[in-house]
Amino acid sequence: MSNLLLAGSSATGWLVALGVLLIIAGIIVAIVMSVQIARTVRAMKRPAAVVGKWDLSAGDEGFDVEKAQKRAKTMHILKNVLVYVFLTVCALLAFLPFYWMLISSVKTEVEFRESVPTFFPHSFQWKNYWMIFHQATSASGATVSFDQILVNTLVVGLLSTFLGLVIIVVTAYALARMEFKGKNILFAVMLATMMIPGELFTVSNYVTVAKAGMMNSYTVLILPFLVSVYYIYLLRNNFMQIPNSLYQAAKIDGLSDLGYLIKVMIPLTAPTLVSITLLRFIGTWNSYIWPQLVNTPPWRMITNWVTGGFVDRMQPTSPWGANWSIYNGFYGSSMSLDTLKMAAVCMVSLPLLILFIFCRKYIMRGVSKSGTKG
Amino acid sequence: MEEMTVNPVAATEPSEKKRKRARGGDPNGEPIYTGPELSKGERFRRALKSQSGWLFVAPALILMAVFTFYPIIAAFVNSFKENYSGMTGRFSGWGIDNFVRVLKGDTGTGGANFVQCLVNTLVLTFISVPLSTLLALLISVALNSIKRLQKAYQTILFLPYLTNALAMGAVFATFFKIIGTTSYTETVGIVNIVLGWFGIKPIDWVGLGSPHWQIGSLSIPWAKYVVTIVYEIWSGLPFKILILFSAMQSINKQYYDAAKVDGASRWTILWKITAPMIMPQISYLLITGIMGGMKQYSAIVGLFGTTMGLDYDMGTMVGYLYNYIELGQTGYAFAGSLILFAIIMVITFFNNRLTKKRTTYR
Amino acid sequence: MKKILTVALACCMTVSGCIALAACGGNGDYEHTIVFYSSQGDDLTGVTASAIKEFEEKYPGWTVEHTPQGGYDEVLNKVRSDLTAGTQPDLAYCYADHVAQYLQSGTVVDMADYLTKADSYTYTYQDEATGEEKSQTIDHIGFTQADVDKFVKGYFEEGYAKNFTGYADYGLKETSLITLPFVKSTEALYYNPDALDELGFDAPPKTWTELWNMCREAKKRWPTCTPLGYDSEANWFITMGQQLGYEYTDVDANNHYRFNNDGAKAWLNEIKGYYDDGLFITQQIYGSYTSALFTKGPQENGCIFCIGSTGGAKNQSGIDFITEVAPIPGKDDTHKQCISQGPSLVMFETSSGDVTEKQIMTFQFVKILLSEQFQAKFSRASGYAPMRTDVYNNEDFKLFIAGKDEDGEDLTGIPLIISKCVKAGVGDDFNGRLFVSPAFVGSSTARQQMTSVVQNVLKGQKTPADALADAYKACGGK
Repeated sequence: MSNLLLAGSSATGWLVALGVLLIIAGIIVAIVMSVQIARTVRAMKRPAAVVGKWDLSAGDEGFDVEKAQKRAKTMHILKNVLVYVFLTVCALLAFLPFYWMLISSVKTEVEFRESVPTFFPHSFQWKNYWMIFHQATSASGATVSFDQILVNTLVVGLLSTFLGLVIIVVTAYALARMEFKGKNILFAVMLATMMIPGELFTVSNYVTVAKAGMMNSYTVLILPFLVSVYYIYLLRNNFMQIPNSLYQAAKIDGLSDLGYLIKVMIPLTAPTLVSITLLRFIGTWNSYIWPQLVNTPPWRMITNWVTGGFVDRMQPTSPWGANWSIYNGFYGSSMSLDTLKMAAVCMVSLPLLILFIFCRKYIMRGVSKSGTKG
Repeated sequence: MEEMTVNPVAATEPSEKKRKRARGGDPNGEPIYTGPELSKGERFRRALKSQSGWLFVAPALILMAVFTFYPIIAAFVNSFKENYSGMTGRFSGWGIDNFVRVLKGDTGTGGANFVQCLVNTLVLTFISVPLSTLLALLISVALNSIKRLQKAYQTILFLPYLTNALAMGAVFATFFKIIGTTSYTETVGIVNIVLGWFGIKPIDWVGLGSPHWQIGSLSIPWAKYVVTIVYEIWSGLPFKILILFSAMQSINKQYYDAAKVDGASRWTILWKITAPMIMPQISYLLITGIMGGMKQYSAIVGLFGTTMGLDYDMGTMVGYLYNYIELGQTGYAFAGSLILFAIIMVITFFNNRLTKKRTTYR
Repeated sequence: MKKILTVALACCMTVSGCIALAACGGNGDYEHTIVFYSSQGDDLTGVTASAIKEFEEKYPGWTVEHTPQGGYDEVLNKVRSDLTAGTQPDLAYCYADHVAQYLQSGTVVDMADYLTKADSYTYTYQDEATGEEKSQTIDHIGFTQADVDKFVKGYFEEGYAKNFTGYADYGLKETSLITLPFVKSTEALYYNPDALDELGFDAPPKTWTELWNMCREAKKRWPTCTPLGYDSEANWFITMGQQLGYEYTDVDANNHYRFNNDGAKAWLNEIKGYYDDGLFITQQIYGSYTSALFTKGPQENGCIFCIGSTGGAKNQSGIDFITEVAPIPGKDDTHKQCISQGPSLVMFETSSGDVTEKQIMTFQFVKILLSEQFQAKFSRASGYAPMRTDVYNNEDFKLFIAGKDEDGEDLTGIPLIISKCVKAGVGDDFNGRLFVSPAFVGSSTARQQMTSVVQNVLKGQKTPADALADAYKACGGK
């Protein structure tokens, strides 16, 4: 590592980046400060008695009220500035990996490997995306197209989400509103299974689905995860909050249990149901271990696709001519390329972020209620 | 399809019996019949109808029987089969040989080592969970004390929650990765560059030359630990912030006003009012964090690849199970999963004890 | 809002219910489909597709489903999990190591029954177009004796049960034929002739001493280059065992693992020195095949030598130079062994349909894969050596080895390197150099452990003695 180019010698890109960050932080701080100062000035013009939000102790006789107020204000502003700086740094750090993922996915591999990484790509190489879609590899390098993987993920995601939802709703309803022998024992047993780590099931389930010949199908990805005790529990509690008078009224109106469930309960708990739906879909989208275990590449999910080494390969046909490879000659062989991997990572992560933008409220509420990813 | 996180706080609700008593009877059931004697057929029909709830729970029950209840029994039974071959179902006899071999690391298959995996899992969990909870607390307090841009910060800080552990693990790996040969380093990764500003020599964080301490047969790959912990904190923060922040938001403002009237300082308010009020959430986060930590696997694959570092030195408990399933050594996988189960049970037990103490204190 | 949500939910449920009915249909009919697992990449699946086409035309009513699984390890993992489930393929790529594990399942087909079987066989099928029942006759189930005589004897004999310890436990005889060779590879030294010229060497190194000398010279000339890239750590360890005379593994069931010895330690110490001087790099340490470094050339901080499989010749095409190929160096003139590898074929008994008929049909597919025509075609596309001697008399193949295409034009680029590669692996002298390392349950573990031993030692994580001792323990040390 003797020739290692440590930063400092050519860290201009980084200095620029650091500068940009400082400017952003500065702008935020400046806005906050000016607002605070404006408020302070406004407050100072008013009688002292109404000002005191933080300086209640400053009302004693013989105390230099004005000075104390000023000091308290300065402290307050300083504290606020510190808080904003801290939060800004945290937010930037939270966002950095996403940014890095995005820019890395469009860099050329040569640029990606520069001894001092560039903070903003010199040139955008969208061919990386073309390459991962046409590379048609999966976890093990076998031939599977991206379309196939996407179809798998969407079909399994939708099916397992909605079929699961039906089961959750129906079961939660029975547990919340219906009376039958052994209900409490059943519910207790179901809750007890939540304490057992799912990994204990995995080994046996693997043998079960293998013996049943279910491997390499959508069924095997959907069936074992349809029942989710926690969501049943969550929804049951939600159902129980609905007043009984409604149920009795419905009964008098001659509504059956199923009718009551569909016409009254589901509309009333719709927000929770939406949250559950979203979280379950995210969970399925992110599933990795089980598909990896039970299915061959053509039947796996999008996360499994990412772990495949994306290598620079000759493409027999491409918009850029026959026998084309992304670093055309420079890394002409089966080199695994991080930029391609980052492009794939983007393809997996971005849909979730977009989903989040549109369904922020439901997702955040669902998460704060259940604490699961699906 | 990730596994559920158990929510022990939420699970402490009054038992069915108590609730019924509190409500003074059972309003949902069939009304108690007081009229004249019914015919046998009618009684049967009513009895059947009153049990129609079973019809509703049947789908869930059947699925659970196959994929939850049966596996529990199978895991117990199969883990005691010696030389169990998943391939043929043959085994040579009953005994605790699987457990002994798993614990001694004497599986003879070149797979992951159980003790190593256990140590890794415990160390990673018990360092990253408290650290990220503390950081989340700080951030939540900061968030709670501002008015402008609160929503924006909250949203950005929540983003890491939605990501795929494996995918983001791969991104983190690029931060730490050194690419090149002994003679020519192409890049040392951002982290090493930043450390270089402080005169620290580049460290091979995630590669084969990653530094480690050796304690007997146990390897402590501290550099890889650091990488994993950084990742775990980053990915664990959003959920913790969300929970703590919404707990703080729901604290009655009167408490604060009263404290201010009494002239309490901000720190006093934080420690005397905020902290006790959100104690249940903190202990809930610690519990779920530890539970989740015991099951970590995907992130390790993202960071260090499917071999989980060099010779599985970053293996985790769950990684151990999958490793042995893949090696076709189902017996060891069963034994390992039972031991994992036992460990989680012990931790849950102590957690519950601690939680109860806290609750009574409050 | 709530109403809309409800309606949306109801719609989604209906739609998903419909998809569920359509999608969970199951896996279809495998009674007349031969499932074949391989580790072929995109380029070679195309070649295999031609064999499948030939088969399907010749035997209507039957199809072949070829699923490339990635690398050899993936094939192993997949077959192993399939055997657990009873869903094994009819035919699969295999290494001898793998077969030792497959044998335990009791489903490996003894191909000796079919090898030269002269009987004819008639099967019936439904004509796709008309739906009527038709029949088709296979005249000669097995190979002719003339065919078998043309197989390269050394390769062919690896497949007999006597080479697999404990075969008798699984109902096999000494004469049982468990695997048939498909194509064979060995390791070759790819070198950059321009760089050697510039250093003043006119021939590739014949011994390791010569090689290391050249590496030192190269290092002086281009300080940032890494002169040698070695793709397989395990192969290196095993090959050096043969050349230097230290032990690796043995078929003796009571004492399989013998690699923990002084010879191995000495060699590991030696290469550790070279590694520290920056003279070489291996695949695992670099994180990619070292061919990536080799093709760049030393000026671009790459390699000038690369030792890799002849099966990977297509990756070795230099960017600014024309790659040359030579046999790997030896210890001296008499100790220059190199490893014989490459996929063999193993047949499994599957439960779908008429078992015997399926095996017969699978064997017909094997016959096509091992035909002179296909072997020549596959070898020319990949760089693997064919398993039949008559391929070398094939006119096109002769031209190919001479560096010409069918029309007598000079080959360039990747085909040229493949041609050189196949040529380097031919010749009477060469066949004497090949060795096979013994296969038994656990021999693939030993291989994996050797990879980790070399990594640990080179990266300074463990001393050679510790690394070998740990590996011995990890193998279950018997």
